[in-house]
Amino acid sequence: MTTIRATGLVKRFGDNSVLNGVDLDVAEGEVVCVIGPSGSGKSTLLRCLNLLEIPTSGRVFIGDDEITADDAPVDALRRRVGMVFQSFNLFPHRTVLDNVALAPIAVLGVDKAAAHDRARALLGRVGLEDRAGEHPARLSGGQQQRVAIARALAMEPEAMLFDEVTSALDPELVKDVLGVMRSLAEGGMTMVVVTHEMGFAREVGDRVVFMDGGVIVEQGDPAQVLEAPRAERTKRFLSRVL
Amino acid sequence: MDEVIRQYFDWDAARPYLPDLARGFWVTIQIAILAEILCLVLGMLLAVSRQAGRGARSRAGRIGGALLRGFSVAYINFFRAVPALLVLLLMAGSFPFLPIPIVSDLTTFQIAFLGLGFVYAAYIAEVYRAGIESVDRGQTEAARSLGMGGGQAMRLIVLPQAVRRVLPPLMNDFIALTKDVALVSVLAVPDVVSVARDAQSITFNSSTLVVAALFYLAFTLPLIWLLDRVIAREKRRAGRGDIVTP
Repeated sequence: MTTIRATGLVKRFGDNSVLNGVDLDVAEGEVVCVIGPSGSGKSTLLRCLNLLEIPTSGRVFIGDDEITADDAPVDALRRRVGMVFQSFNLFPHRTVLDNVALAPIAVLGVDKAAAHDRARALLGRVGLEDRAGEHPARLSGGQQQRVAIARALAMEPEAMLFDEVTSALDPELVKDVLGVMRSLAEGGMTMVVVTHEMGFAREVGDRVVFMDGGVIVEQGDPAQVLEAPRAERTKRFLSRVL
Repeated sequence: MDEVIRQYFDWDAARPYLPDLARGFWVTIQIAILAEILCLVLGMLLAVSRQAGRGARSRAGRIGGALLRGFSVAYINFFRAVPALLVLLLMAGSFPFLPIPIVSDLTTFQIAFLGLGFVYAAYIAEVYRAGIESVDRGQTEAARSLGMGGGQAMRLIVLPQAVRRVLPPLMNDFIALTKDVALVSVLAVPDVVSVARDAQSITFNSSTLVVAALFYLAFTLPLIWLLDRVIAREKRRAGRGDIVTP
């Protein structure tokens, strides 16, 4: 069963061609890690999957529904895919609890008390139940990112997109965030993870996708791609980062 | 020298007009507050319209958005370019003669606050716009990724942050608006300036105008002080103090 499927994705910004025909199938429960040099189109690919970027051409399906269709209920489809950003993007004017409970209340019409209970449970899951009443600015980067994960989970998505979520963090805070992601993966969540954390890709990923120049150069089992890459470009990239 | 002082500070010349001046200032305040409410609401609608339909995918959404944007840009530019006094004169001079029921029945008092509200809405819209555009794009993206619609993201996420940021300039415009209420004295609205000028033309003494200025000071100085407090609080909240020079 495919949860997310992209076919023939092309994205151009003016003359700058960022994606040059990408096909990606993500199976239910699969953890796909996307790696590649900066500017390779990883983040743009991810942002096309929930239509934060509108692809120049190509199609994206969430389950059986095409989000790129002209008359697609985009807002309703986006709910089914959670997203976590490099820069956290927590709502600074709301408390941590409100950050998590806001969308279920506003979008799904969940009763406020129920949404708060659930938000507390999710905060507990990411180890931050005691910070529920604070504003995001009082939290460390790692804590903010864990709140952002809880916020996305509150919508009970079928899949999660992670856009270099540890890149803005101090090294000692990365571990906590990766730990939360690992437990999500172990819980069977479908995940597409754009990352520079090769260790995470190897240990948690079911598949590693290497992108360069707006195309998928190589993909496969993490151990194979990371340790015995076939393509010359993959070898060169890995030799620089490992 | 005595004569100079008496021209401005002749208590005996001003005293008979004090009740009228107080009533006049009450009119001034009412017009200021009604115009402020109008321009806050209208300015918000204009500012949000100015962002309408960006990134809309349907044809109808794009066309509707372009029309709304075009209207709000035209409105904002027109009222920023034309003097408030001219707008007031135009409205007060023409409305009573229009064959439109509600418009022709407007009193000069109503025309006064409507006119000022219409003019200031253009400025307020630009203040809101600055606030809206200062909110990081990632905020909208996060809201939309959670399934919120464009309107919801604007209302729940962007606007609360935007308004908080532009509170100081909004208050500044309220002070400016309060002072511009003096313009309505040309419409025969009995505001404090109009009362003071009428008295001056009888007594040939300017003390009533000085009293009008004192009324204004009593009202606007606390607002200015409050504004400074708000700015200082924002500064503290942002965690930025003054740069220390060693």
